[in-house]
Amino acid sequence: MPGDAWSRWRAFAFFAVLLVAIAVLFAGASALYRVPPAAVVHDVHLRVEGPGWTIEYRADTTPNSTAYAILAEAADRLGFVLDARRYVAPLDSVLVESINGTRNGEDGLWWLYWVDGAYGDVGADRKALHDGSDVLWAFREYPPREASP
Amino acid sequence: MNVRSFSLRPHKRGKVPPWKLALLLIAAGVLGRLVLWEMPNVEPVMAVALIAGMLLGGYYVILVPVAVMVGTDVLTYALGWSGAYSPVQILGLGAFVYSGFVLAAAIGQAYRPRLLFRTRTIAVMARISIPATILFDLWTAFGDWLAISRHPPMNWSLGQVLEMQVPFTLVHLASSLIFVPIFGTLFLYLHTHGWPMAGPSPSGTDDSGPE
Repeated sequence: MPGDAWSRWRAFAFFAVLLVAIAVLFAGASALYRVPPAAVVHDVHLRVEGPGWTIEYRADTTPNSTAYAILAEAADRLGFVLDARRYVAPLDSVLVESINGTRNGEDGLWWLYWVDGAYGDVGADRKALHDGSDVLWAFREYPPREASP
Repeated sequence: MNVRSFSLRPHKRGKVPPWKLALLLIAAGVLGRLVLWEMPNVEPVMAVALIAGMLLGGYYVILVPVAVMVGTDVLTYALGWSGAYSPVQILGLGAFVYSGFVLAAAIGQAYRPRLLFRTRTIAVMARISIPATILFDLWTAFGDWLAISRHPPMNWSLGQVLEMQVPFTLVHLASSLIFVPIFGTLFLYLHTHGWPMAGPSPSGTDDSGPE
């Protein structure tokens, strides 16, 4: 094979291998960072603790079965403003930026969440709820100093 | 491929003066990091650091990645884009992130291929970016655990942190495989051929030993 053709073939093969590797890596990341399956949950309690105010919400039955979805449901039903930023795929997730007019960074505090007493370990839209789950969104220092909410 | 010991003296210069190439690398890193801010773990700084190590070496191994990170960190904190970390946490975690990129540049310097404008050279650069990216992620995950995640309320073990890191590392590897060939091709061309409008030049400046 002439030198130029061989060089072109090698460049093409390298580019193809690169594309396949990138696609496999993105697919693997998406598969590992899963959105929880859709589920209907019962008797979910939500508490939102802002600076000097508190919102309580209870859902007897809801298809909004993540820590973020139940907050969005409460915002819709109770009429408070919720603002969130969505990051881009494949590690797409939401970051809650403001609740009821209180925005991240004010007085060095941030919106954090706990589910059943456990501090969130994934994006709030990836955190599954179960029957009887207690969800707390609190405006706290990050990371919070308290061992429990 | 020879492994070289670290020296603060830059490599023999290519067709473009090293300081100009360094400025271009820093600009590419700053611009790329800002544009890709909303995409977790997709970033050009790893590629810029590796290429700085391979093409420039010496003190540029420290200067280029640190300049990119300081420039973008100062800008994003001024713009209010950055997260909830306190200054102490930024210093703690930042030390791991900055040193991680310097480590990547040092790996680029230690394992630099022959600098000929060939597909093979770009392939070697891409190959080297894989262990460099994994080492960077292990180092910074350890830093995150040490500075933040092992404390209440997380109380996560190092194993848990590393497990949570896996999907992020996969994306980071993909990011390196995108940016190292793109930036590698561009900057290797400049290094070996000079500016495109500057007229004909020899095919390459091979200032390194055999692979």
